[in-house]
Amino acid sequence: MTNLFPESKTGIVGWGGYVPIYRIKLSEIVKMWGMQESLPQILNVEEKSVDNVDEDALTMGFEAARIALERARVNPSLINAVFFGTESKPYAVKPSATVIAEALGITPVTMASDLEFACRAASEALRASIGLVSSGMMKYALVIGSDTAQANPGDVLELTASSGAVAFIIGPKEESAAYFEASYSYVTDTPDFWRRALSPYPLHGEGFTGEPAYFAHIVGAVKGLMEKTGLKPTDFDYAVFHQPNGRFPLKVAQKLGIPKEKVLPGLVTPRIGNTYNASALLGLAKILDQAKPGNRILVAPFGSGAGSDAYSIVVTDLVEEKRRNGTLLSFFIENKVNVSYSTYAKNRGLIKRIDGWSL
Amino acid sequence: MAKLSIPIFWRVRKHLYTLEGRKCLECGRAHFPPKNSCPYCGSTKLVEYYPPKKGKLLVWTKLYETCDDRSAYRPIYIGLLQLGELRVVLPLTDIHDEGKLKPGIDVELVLRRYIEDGDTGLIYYGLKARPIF
Repeated sequence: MTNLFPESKTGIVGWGGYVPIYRIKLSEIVKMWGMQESLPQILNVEEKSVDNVDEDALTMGFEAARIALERARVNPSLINAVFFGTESKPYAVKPSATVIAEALGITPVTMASDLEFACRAASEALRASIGLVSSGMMKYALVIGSDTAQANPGDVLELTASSGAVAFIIGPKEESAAYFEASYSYVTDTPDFWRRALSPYPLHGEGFTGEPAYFAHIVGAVKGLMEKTGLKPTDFDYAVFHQPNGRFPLKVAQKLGIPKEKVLPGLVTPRIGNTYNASALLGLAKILDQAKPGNRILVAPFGSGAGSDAYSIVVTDLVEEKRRNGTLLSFFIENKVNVSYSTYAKNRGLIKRIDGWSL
Repeated sequence: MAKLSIPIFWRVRKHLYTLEGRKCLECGRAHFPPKNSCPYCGSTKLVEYYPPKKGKLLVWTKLYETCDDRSAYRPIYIGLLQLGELRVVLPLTDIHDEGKLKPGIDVELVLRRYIEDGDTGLIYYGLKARPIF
């Protein structure tokens, strides 16, 4: 099956994940807004990451991309595409991808753009990069997923919306720590979650977020991938799904007949919250930090609006050597400082001040 | 609020993003910011020098008085760092325990926001140093 699909010419040459050092306990948010005390348990999330006052999606994306580049050990000028998937870009108009490309020495001969598809933009970038590399148009492409996710204070989304970044360098299979076997996308028009232009916080269509959005699209993408490839749930050693909370990924695994033991190693949300564009892909980064050559990974990110992609990824012999060349994601997950709601509010720009002052 | 100069930041952006300095081919010493002649021996035979992303903290201080644009960052920690052959003064970030900020500790360069031109102007990025506690 290996050479059936064009995806199999490409793989992950380098990967990196980054999570800011600060955390706020969900119990603190629950107390602040008088929410039901059992919500953190129901969501299966204990605390969420909080970006520092001088961080944003761009700076976090840079940090993840630098780790990916250290693992890839490729000349930055050979990277001919930089895709930045986010829904919290620092500028409405002015690409973040160009700043990161410049800071990493990738400019000027490169494609560079910011993509938006709620939490799935980076996954779309991944599929596009697979296409660009497998067609021979370029040797390497850089994909970044990064978010400082916004939430209306007091809304249930505030319990999980967090900050984090992940990056992958896509290149030839021969140089890869893991190669793509096949991929599949499943997209419909679904009103589950949105943010209008100039609105500071997203809203969600309550009844749409679960079954018609998350579950329908991930199941659609994964079943499509399995039909296309002939693979079965038992063929995968690990499964990573989009992680809006700590409960949905386990539930969708159950629907697909995948035991939770294969999902738990890549489940990062209970410790850091939902990092939106980084969410499922940070799970993949965590799996690559521990997988053995020959392991097969199922990855299915999801984005509201709505769509999901499913990937079958096989780990190669190069994974252990490349793993040693960069900081492990577990360092950033374990290395944390808990902050109060007031520090979180300051860092997230929730406190309104005037005159030449902004976050 | 005074408007920040776009050309000044544009000219130095690469230096802010990479700390690109110069190394003297005559006396072998490196310096930052880059100059056309060596500040130590006066030679004009210089090559680009990029420091490693990890180094040591030599000394540090902190500022309470800042301009409005940076009041959210207060206090601002500033460190003199040894990065490979370069000695550089940079802002320090992610300081959550000042007691651990001692000369000799390891630091790592990270890209962060330096300053913003109000709510509508440009955002300027540059490298800061994050202590590895």
